[in-house]
Amino acid sequence: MDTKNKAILGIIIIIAIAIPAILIPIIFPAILYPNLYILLNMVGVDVLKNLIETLIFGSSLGTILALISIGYSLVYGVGKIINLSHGMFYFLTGYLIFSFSVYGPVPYVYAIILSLVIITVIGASTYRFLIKPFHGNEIMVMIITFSLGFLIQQIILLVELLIPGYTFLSLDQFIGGSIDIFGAQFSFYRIFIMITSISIIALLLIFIKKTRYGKAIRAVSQDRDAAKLMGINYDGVLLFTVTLSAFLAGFAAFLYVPEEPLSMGTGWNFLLLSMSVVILGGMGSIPGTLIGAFILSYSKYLCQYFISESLAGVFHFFIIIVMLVIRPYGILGKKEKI
Amino acid sequence: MSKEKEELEVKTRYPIGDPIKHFFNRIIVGSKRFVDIKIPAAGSNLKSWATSFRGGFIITFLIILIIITPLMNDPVYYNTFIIAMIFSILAASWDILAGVTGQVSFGHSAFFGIGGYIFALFINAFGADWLTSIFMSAIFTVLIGLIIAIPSLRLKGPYLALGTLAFSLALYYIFQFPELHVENVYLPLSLKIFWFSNPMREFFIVLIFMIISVVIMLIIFNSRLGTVFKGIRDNEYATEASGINTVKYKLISFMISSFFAGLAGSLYALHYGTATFLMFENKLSFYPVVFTILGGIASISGSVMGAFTFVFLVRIISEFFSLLFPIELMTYIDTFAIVAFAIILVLIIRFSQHGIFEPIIKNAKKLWDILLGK
Repeated sequence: MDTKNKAILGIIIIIAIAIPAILIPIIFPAILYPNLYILLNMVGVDVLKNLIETLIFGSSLGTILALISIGYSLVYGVGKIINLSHGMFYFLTGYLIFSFSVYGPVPYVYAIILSLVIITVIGASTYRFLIKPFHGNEIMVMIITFSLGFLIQQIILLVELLIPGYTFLSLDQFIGGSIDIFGAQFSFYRIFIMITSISIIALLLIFIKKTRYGKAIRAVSQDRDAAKLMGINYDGVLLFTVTLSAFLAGFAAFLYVPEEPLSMGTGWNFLLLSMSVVILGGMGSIPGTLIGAFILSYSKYLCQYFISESLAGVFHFFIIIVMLVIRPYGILGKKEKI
Repeated sequence: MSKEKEELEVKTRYPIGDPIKHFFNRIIVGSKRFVDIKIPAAGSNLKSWATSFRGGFIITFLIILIIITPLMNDPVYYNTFIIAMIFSILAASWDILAGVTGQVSFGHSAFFGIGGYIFALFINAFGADWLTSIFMSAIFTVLIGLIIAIPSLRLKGPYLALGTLAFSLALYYIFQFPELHVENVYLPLSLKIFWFSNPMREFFIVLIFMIISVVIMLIIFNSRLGTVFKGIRDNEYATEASGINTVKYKLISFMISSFFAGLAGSLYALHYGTATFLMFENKLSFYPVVFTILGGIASISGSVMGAFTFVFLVRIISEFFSLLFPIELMTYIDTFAIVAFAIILVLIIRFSQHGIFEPIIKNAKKLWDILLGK
């Protein structure tokens, strides 16, 4: 089965399995033993609500993480570049949208378009000026992309300090309203997030699978020198991939920031989340990234609701460490010659 | 041949019937061999280094440092120098791990923070004096660092960097967990008074620590141990094929590196009087990377010079910024400093991959030769 179909089938299977797997142990005991739920509610454990919230929040975070991590994984798969400023692209886009729409006279739609354009340009110039000179040396690429991420964060901090009263408040959700399932709020905005990101991912997969340029990308990720021999412009493909990953990160920011406001640690948080998704699913493998994104977000929310809230914040670190020790190439990754 | 004779002597002098003496003799023989490996002809090495141009440059710099600072007696200069010296120990320890043994880790702040915390805990819990606490914290950092080191042994390249990054960031967040009730550890008031009342004393103590640490690391660099490390960096398979147990030597490298990083952490905690979770911050594990790149990756003295240059450059630029901007923004000096640091970082890494000190020293040497008329 080819990649796109496998991936879409994977998404459907995961969501299809997750929904009954979570709902069945809820619904049947709730019908048969209503006293159990009353007891648990008295103790304070809102089991039903937590499980539903896990499903809802986990799915939306999962699709957003998939969007961000596909960019990250593509960049690694195509050029062996580990882009440590990826999280900062997300953060910067959110900030730009906010500053253009709230502190500037720009209407919201134009603010979004403008910041997406800006982040695309920043992504392209990151590749051209910072990554390309260091191309053979992975460690130096990591160092310089980290420095860029650090620089972006410090400039934002500085701007916040210098201009009085300039703090990030929040963005509006442009689709209001929610429905209430057993006490958990399921806002329509989240449905919008999920539908949009899944369609973008599907478009991306169609692009990589069906078009000629997508074939070039796949060729370069398989064997760089052979692709060069076939006349593929390796540099151009890498530039396109890095730019695309920046755009995807920006798009994810436009979708998710209204739902979860930015804070100073958000950039690094999303970088590490996408890193753990990619390590879990396999570096350079897109179906693996999708599966990893959903596994990570569901287990993160399960941990948050049922074990401890702080542990959920560091959960992805342990996934990184454990995966690197037992299986560094991920679940669906190819065994590289390390 | 003489080692075999020694062992034969030991075996005949103390047969199996006397196991304790046998045990101790084996330790003595083994450690003599270790000591021989560590300091081969250190005296003449030092003399030839000192009389070379590079050594003279660094020694002059050190002498200027030692003489001028106490004369100026300005607490700001003391502060900058002390921070520079602590960071130079940290940078040199990272260099031993990454530049010499090739294990590039982005999580050095883990060792730094663990050292600082253990130091503070030792002083608070056991009431020991600061000198013992510093050494004990360095030793315990090594032991705890083994938890990070042992899984890292099988990782290479970017996976090692990512794994160590994940470890240090995990520690940063774990130390902030509200459930674990980890608080900032404050040093007792008597120690703080003793320490801060005389900045010149602190300056000289930290200077002695720095000199001893850097000298030990230089000796390791120039010894057989250092050669094995460099072999692991250059071609691990060839080193393994030569019969050297790379796992053992990688572990030794991690242990040495974490010892000195813990030492630097303890000095940092002592300087600031507290140990907080901020010691595990991300940028502290990138400082040694930056300093070492600035100074030239595989040279210990380069990383020390890089640390000094960076700290002073940041201080100078932030003072420069403070002249341009009005007084109300003086409280944002730290942020200015960090932005300046980040910009310099990007530019320097982009344009000078092999450290800026080699070209500077080479050009200075040419200048010197021209002046001397050679």
